[in-house]
Amino acid sequence: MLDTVSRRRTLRSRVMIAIATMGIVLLVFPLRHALGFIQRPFVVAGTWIARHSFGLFEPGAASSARVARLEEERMALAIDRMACEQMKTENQDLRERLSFAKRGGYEVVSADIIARTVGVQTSSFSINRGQSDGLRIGMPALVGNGILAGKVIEVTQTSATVAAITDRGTAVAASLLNQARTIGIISGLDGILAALGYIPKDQTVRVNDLVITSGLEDLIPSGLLIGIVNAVESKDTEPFERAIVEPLADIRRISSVSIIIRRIP
Amino acid sequence: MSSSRIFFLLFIFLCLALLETSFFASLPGVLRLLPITFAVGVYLVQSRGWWPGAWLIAAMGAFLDFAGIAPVPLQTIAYGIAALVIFFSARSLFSNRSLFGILACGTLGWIAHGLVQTTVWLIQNLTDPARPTVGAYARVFGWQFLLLMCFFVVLFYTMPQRTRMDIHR
Repeated sequence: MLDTVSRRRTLRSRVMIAIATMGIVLLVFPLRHALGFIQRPFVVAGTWIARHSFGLFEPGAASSARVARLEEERMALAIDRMACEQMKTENQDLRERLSFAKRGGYEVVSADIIARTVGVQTSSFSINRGQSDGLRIGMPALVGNGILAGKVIEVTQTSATVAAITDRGTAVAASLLNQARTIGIISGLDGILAALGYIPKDQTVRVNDLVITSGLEDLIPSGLLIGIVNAVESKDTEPFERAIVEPLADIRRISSVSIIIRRIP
Repeated sequence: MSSSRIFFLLFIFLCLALLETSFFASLPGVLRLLPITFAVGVYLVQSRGWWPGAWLIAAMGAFLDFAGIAPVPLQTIAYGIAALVIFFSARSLFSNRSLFGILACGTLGWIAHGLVQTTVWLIQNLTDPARPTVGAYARVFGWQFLLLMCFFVVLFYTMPQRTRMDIHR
């Protein structure tokens, strides 16, 4: 009897010591920051495999080298066109060779992806930067040369969650690079595509039109490239039409992003 | 459970959770949908009779909610209920430690998880002005189930006998 009581006491004290030790460790090293450090190599390894075996898992896809080359070409063409349009309308002297941040005069923070969601309809990921790096909810996450990948939706002291542009819950003020500069709201569609909604029916929207951010949101500047219009849906019973947009940033094949913190005056 | 076992369980959980959300989630195609923590949890509870394995499943839901990367909110509840179902079904319903037992126990747990998750998903979509895409949701759910079953078969036939004795010790 006494033996059982003393064993229980020992067990209880050991559990208490274990919990207290863990508590101290978590206080000294914030959990998500510590986990991010461990998670990073896993994300890099997984993304590397995804990049190099893309053709195997996508029906009808070309070889990964060809896809990469075509995507590079497409992205370069899209950026060129956006730069030309902006030159015409805003008369700015854009220089292609400069990096996005320098060209736009933005202060950016680069962040590594440390975890991703598992699912098709929701496409979000965690990054290893947080409030202590100046991140706030609503800031844009970019890849490459100024291509919008998503929006910060949750921030802790040392990490943040970004919802990709293809996430059903994401909504970003966007506009089309057509003659009328049609504005609308872009949101995710099934985790792969996005839809630009609330386009008045009198506007002319064509396939291959570029979609950029409109600048109507506080923290998201205008002119960030989002994607290309793939199809236009219109119903007689509805006052607006909808453009199906193929985003240029594929979050399945990136392992780091840049967050725009502020515009340098 | 001794403190060393608690630490061991925590260590196993962290390894699996990080592997699932970082490595597997970055893989191409359907491979990224493999619920590895769930699968290992079911395997430990049903096939190895290591009851604390149910905590792995329950903790995965909390981890997804905590990290803010859950595909549907309230995963803590969905995984918690699944863990309970697996625990009780492994003890009283599918207690035979055969391949059939683990597959049946895993199926029941996955259905329990799916019911809760789908209910939350439907409620969430009630307020969504866009139509919920049932097809895409069902496709993901189906693929996860298929991968889960395949993983059970792999676990059942590849884990050596020695490990089973180690865990029981």
